[in-house]
Amino acid sequence: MLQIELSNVIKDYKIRDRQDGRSGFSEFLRPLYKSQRAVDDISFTIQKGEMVGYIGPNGAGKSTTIKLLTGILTPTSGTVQVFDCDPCKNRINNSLKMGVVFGQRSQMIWDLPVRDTFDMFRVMYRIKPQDFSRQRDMLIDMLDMSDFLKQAVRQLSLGQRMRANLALCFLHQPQVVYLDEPTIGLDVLVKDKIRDFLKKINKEQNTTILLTTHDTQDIEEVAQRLMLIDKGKLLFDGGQTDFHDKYKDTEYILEVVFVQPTSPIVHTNFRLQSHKGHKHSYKIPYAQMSKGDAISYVASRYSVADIRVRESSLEDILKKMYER
Amino acid sequence: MSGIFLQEVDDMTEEALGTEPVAFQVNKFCLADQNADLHIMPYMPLFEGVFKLPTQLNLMLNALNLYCIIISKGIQQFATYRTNIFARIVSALFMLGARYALWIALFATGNAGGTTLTETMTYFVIMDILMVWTTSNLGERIGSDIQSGDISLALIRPMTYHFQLLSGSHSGAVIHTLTGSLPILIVASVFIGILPPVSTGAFAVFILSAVLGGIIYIFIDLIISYTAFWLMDYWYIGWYKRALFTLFGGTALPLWFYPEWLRNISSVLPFQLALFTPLEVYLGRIYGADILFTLGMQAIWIVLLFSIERFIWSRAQNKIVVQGG
Amino acid sequence: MHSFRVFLTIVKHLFRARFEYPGSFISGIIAQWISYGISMVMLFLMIWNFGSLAGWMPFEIIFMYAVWLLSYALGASFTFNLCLSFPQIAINGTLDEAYTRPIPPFLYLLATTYNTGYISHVILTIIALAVSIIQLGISWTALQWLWLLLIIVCGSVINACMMLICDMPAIRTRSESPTGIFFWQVREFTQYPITIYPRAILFVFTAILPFGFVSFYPIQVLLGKADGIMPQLTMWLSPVVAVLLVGVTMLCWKYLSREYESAGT
Repeated sequence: MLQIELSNVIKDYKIRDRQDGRSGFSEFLRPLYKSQRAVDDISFTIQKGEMVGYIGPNGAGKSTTIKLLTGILTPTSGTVQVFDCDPCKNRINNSLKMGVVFGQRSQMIWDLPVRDTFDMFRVMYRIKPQDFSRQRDMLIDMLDMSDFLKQAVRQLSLGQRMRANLALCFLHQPQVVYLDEPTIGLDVLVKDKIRDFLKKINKEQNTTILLTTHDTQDIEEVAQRLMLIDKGKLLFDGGQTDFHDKYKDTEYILEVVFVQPTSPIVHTNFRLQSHKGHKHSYKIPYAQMSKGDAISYVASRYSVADIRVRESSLEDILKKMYER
Repeated sequence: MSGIFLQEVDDMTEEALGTEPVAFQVNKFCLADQNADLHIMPYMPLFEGVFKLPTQLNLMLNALNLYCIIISKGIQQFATYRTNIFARIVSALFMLGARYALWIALFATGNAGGTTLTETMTYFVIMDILMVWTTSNLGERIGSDIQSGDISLALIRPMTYHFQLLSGSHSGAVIHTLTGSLPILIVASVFIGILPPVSTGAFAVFILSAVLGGIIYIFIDLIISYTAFWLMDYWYIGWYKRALFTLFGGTALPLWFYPEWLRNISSVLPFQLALFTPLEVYLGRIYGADILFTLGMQAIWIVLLFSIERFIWSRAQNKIVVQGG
Repeated sequence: MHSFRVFLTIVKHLFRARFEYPGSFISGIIAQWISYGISMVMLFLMIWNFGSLAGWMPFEIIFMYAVWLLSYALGASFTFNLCLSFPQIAINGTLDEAYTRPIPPFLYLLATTYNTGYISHVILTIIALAVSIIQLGISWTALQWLWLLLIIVCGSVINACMMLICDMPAIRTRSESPTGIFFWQVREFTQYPITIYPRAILFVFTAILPFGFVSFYPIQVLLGKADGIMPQLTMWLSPVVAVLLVGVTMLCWKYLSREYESAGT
């Protein structure tokens, strides 16, 4: 079932064009503007229940896309359809069915315990009492929040506040949830809890989740589908393995630790990268020799203490792409 | 005041007001070699190496020099905001106009009693200049210093702490004078008519009275601000201080408009001696032998307030040591 | 309507948050009572000494001041914090958050920034109102009480709208609003009967910055006064002015929201 559809969406921002050489007076009377394209002809569709990771370098247009989907901004051209309507024109209806978490931004009443903000949201999102208690209890359990429920928000740690923010986001059983950098600044334990939670709730309530993040582990664990955006363009849209296949290096690295210092291996497929006495590393093209063959070739001819294959990780790929 | 500037002030203050006697070396203090832009006061070649002054006088001159530097630095920083200055001057002049309209309407009722429109307007215009002493938020500064732990400076170097408290608030006061009181004085003299001093002698006495009054104000300010050491919420201390001076000090309404009983209460309190009484001297409402009486009262209150201030300060220091701030 | 129910819930919780710290709450209230109370005493003494001001007796002036301050307090409780936050609101995500809630964004902002501290002004001015009404020996019909209630409501609306209109440019300029002084400085002049000012200023306070309609004009109905300059009709116009200002505020907000959308962050 189609839930989100972007068709040929373009979003331009109007920014001040401050040119050197103009007098301050004319700057004030007739300011010049130029347009900056933040989203450049993007189209995609998302089905209900998908978990999508949205990545790209800073300033690529990720936040702008989220704002277009949530109805904060209108596209310059193209159409945005969420739940079969324009999110801007149906803001209230759209908001009832969606949840948003913006990074570290806290949406809770600072001096009161979390449960008071829960109550506020219950009224705001018109949640029925039975649904409310059921969902709330489930979220408290899933996010392990029972030990700090009675404390004022002021006294909570960042990890606790983020969990509470997430709970608020899912309180009204939204159909779509937009998470903008939800794990930023959190320790590994909390990140793990949150990733597990997202996977679980997606499975149990079929919530569509769109996650922007810089944390590659978030993507690896949570996102089934990856969208890569850079300079406003959608460069990739597909599964994680497809992404690796498409963008990974043509070569893998074979790291060998010999028992004794050995001279470099000479082989048409082996390209020496570095060697320091015992430790050698070679680059080998996937196309020329499989990893298994390479390992058995080395192991059968040499006394080897340790042998490892290093492939480009998601982080390596992204680093290379962002540099471009 | 920028963070870097405060650091320099800290260093200079420690040097200037430290407990070790410092031979009066103008070079060293004017920091001409180290920080050229802080060199604002000219050399005083009279003292250079000629003779060593007594330690206390030494310290006082250093302090005065430092005080002037801090004030002018603060003004320099403010002077960079040109639109702000213009807005403040325009706004001050509007206030003057509104006040004038109000008092014209009041005097139009014909029930002036023992005063005239010109006298009352003069009162407010000169009061505005004397208000240099009154812009301060010492209570809040003390309170936030306690919260942040900076209060330890007050224990280690109490003189430095006081110096920083007072000079910090005074640089703001000087700006207020330049962008508010002075334009008001000029415009008022030209368009409204302000009473000039009765004579040079009277004016000199007025200056003396005003300085004594200023000292009284500072002590009252400190005493009230010290309550920040005992209160959880120190943000409102300034409000109470202003309220007391409004009610008993004549800052909003000259006390000669007050009913007898309120006037009597005010006369046993020190608040009116800070600003109101010097103004009465200026306006010639107090003259002859009464002036001596007035100056005497001011002197007595200075001594009294000084002892109260010292007492409360020692209690406050006690509290910091015992409770760790 | 659902939005109002949400509004009340949010404000209720804000009050509860305030009462978490009763000590600081009370000390704030007392400080403001003393401060404004003494201002009122000064005002009274000033007029009492001369007998009257522009034809207004001392307690009539206090009555006018009380209505003036009460209207300000009620209006500002909705808009003060919001106006203070305008310079940052487009940058720090507050405005974005308001657009993602299932109630109109403006209402969400008003509710979440409600200032609970003005309760001190409300209590003080009601006491002052009571005192002056008793001293003036007034006994009113039910209709006159209703008019008093109406002008307080209209006065609050006028104050709230003027504050918003004067401070809204800060949303775009991202710093202090250039038109802010027209509210914050200028309003102080209107606590006195504005007939003391030259005709040009009177015109400003009637037709351009209509603070005259907060207290000065409408209470003439109750006190049976006529200011002698403006036609009788002006006494009754407060509700009209309030409605007009709401319209202007809404227009300004719509214009700014549209600009926000197209300009982004």
